[in-house]
Amino acid sequence: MNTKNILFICIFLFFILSTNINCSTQGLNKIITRGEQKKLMETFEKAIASKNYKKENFQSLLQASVGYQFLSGSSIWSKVQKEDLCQEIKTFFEDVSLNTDEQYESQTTIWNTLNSLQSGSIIYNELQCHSKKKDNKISKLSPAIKELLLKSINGKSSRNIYLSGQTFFELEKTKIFNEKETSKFRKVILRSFGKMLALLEEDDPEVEFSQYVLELAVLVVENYDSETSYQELADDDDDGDTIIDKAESEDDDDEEEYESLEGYLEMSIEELLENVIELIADVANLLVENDGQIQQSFFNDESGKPDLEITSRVLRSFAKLKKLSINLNDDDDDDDDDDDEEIFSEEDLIGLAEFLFSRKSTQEISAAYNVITGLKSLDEDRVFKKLICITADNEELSIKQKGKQNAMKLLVSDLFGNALPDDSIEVFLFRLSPVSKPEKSLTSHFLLSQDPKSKKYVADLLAYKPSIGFYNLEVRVSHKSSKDGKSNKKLRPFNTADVTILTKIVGPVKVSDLEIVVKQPKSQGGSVLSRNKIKYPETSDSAKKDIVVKRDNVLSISFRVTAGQPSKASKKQKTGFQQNINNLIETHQAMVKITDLETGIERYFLAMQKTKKYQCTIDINSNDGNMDFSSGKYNLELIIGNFFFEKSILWNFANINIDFGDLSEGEQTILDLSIENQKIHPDFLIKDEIKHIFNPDPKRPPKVVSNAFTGIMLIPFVLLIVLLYIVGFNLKSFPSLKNPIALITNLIFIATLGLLVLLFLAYFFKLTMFKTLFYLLIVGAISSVSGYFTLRNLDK
Amino acid sequence: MSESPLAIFKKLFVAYKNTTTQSLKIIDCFLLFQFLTGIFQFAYVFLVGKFPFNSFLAGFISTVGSFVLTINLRTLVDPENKETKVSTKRAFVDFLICNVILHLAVFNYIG
Repeated sequence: MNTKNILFICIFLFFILSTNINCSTQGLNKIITRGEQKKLMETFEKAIASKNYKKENFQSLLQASVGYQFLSGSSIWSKVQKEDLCQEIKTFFEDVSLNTDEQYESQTTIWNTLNSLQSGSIIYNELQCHSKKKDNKISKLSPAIKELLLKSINGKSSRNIYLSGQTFFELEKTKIFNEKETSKFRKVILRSFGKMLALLEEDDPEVEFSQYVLELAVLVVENYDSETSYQELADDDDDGDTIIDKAESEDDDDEEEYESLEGYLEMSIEELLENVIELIADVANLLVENDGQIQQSFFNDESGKPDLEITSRVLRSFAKLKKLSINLNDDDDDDDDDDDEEIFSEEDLIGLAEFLFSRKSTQEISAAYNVITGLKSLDEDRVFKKLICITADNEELSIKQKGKQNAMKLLVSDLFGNALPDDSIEVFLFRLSPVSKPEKSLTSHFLLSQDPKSKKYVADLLAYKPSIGFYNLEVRVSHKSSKDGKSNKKLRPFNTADVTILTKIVGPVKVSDLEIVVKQPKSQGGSVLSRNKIKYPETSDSAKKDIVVKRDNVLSISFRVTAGQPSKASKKQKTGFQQNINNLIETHQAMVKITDLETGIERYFLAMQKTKKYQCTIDINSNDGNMDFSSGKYNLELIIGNFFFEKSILWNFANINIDFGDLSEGEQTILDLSIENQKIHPDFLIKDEIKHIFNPDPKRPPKVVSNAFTGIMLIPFVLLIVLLYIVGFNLKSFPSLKNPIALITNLIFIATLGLLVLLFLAYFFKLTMFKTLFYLLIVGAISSVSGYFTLRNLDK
Repeated sequence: MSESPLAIFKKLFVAYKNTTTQSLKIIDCFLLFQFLTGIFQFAYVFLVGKFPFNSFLAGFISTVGSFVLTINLRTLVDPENKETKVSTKRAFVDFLICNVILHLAVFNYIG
């Protein structure tokens, strides 16, 4: 073999290997769980149950019903008051009159109206309003609406064309348009679609525009016979010119407008559809920014931010178009699809799915609708390559429990959590490697079996005896063709999918070989004064060793953290296996805490890792370690913590006595200050509850004085009576018994005056103002009548 | 000739007794009564303070208001008063009605 051959073979092998490497793709580590689906269904149900049937809410109602249908499989329309809704729609279609004054025709109003029209017409057909009660049937269309529809379809906004077009096709089903109107509308829609397609071929069409062209394409394919060609447009236009005439005319405007249609005039709808799908490739390249990172592949709006509505809409219409084109080419074999050039790569699809997942907890109707329809479109069987999702029930396993019930359970499903059929897939536990050492693998390629009850694949990771820590679990799912070699009808072939799941193995830890050494500082020789070994979890007290530390001493604490239970644990608690008992386990936190039992002063000292042990040094002479010169008993606690410790350790391992002896003045002030600082400032303590007290009444004079003055007040009254007696009464005019009527009226009059006084007294003690006024009216009436007669009699 | 104030006062008193009609004298007694009542109330407040102020106002306004209304009645009833066009009966009825309204407010305010 010469070098040329060898080179050729090498290149050939390289290509084979590279395709093999490229063959396996990433799967997804999340799904939209049953709980999340239920919450979304509740959101939809709430929208319907709110019974808000105004025209502004048609779109929400429609979206809620579609979303609910996708999730539950059943229709939500049974919960709607069909009569009211149909009536509302009918009123809207018959009575809407738009203000045709130029300055009031804002784009927002038009778009909102068109939205309501589109949604309203779809709902109308779904509820079959026209076939039920005659009252609900739309008998005539408001002329304003007809005008709006035509104007929008003839306009330049692809969004408006789509909305009006769909409205027309939905209303057509109710047979509300006559033949002339129908044919006119159909022509105009087809013409506008052609114009939009032509515009799409130009450079840099905008996202806003392109998304609606796809929707238009779906409309056209669904509603026009596939054999129809654009020759339909060759019929007479309103002006009497055919389209072909216009395209060839010498008028610049007409020519420009219809020139672009030239390419399509000879095509049938079927051919047009193929054309559209090719165009989608261009559109998709525009809309999908693939910088090589999966996170970048979403559909962005003008400002470059990912937009949920655009993403969902493009996915929906693309899926529909693809399905329609598949249906049109019905005689294909399944195998041919493998050769299709993918418009969306697998990274794009995963990026799109992740983007939709990021919004799955929304409570907004339109967002929920977009998420569900987008995910459903991604899940469509023959449109996109299947996205495999592998999710684990529990991503944390404890060494202490073993057995099948503590194994990791993996669900292999589609985006919605529906398990893939068992006989079409093979699930492998590919690698189990520690995060810190990715090259090491605890297992080789291992086929997992399925638990028949839960339909999940069981991976008994603890069988590989992992030590505690973080692990990367790589799972591979590959397609299994059925026994006779043909592809499985239940599940179409897909590339193998790899998913990496971050798992945590937790387990108990213990401290071993703890040693406290008290020694002299290096400057004085560094000799060891005492050495104590303490066993976990006892304290130095139980060992009856009194550790005394004097000033200038250095405390040195060393220990080791290992896996396993302390030896005092009962047999039941002991683990099934104890791996690497004597190996040092790294901890996140390792520190010693000193607490002064009298003053409550606390200090923390970090323990550093030194070869096989952790070591912590406390220099009593230093600023940190001098504990503010407080002599007395101290608590020493060891704090150990990490993510994969089953329980972190807080161990009071020693009680020591620190003796400072006599303190100098400076040291004493430091101590006093420190004790002072330990007290909580009264501002931060709980204060007494304030009870509100009203202002007390001002002082009153003594009762004697008040009573005296009451008596004094009676004096003028007495004086009055005396004076009246002196002056004398003149009772000549008083009617005598000879005139009984006059006498009686007179007496009644005087009686009513007395009644008035009594009424006022009663008001003061008992009555309300309203009652008083009422009685006043009565008494006043009597008194005025009797008074009139009395005074009249005085004349006589 | 300068006369003592007492003599002047006595002369005034006699003239009053002779010239005024009986009904006017009755009204004058009533006026005196209301006046004294008001004075005594004011003196009380002056001595012991304004608490409770609303009661004082009620009482004081009662006396002052009645005083005003009575003076009005006296003016209209006086036979030497030739400018009025209102009959005595009408004046009396007005007096009664106004008093009722006044005392409605007063009783509301006594508290």
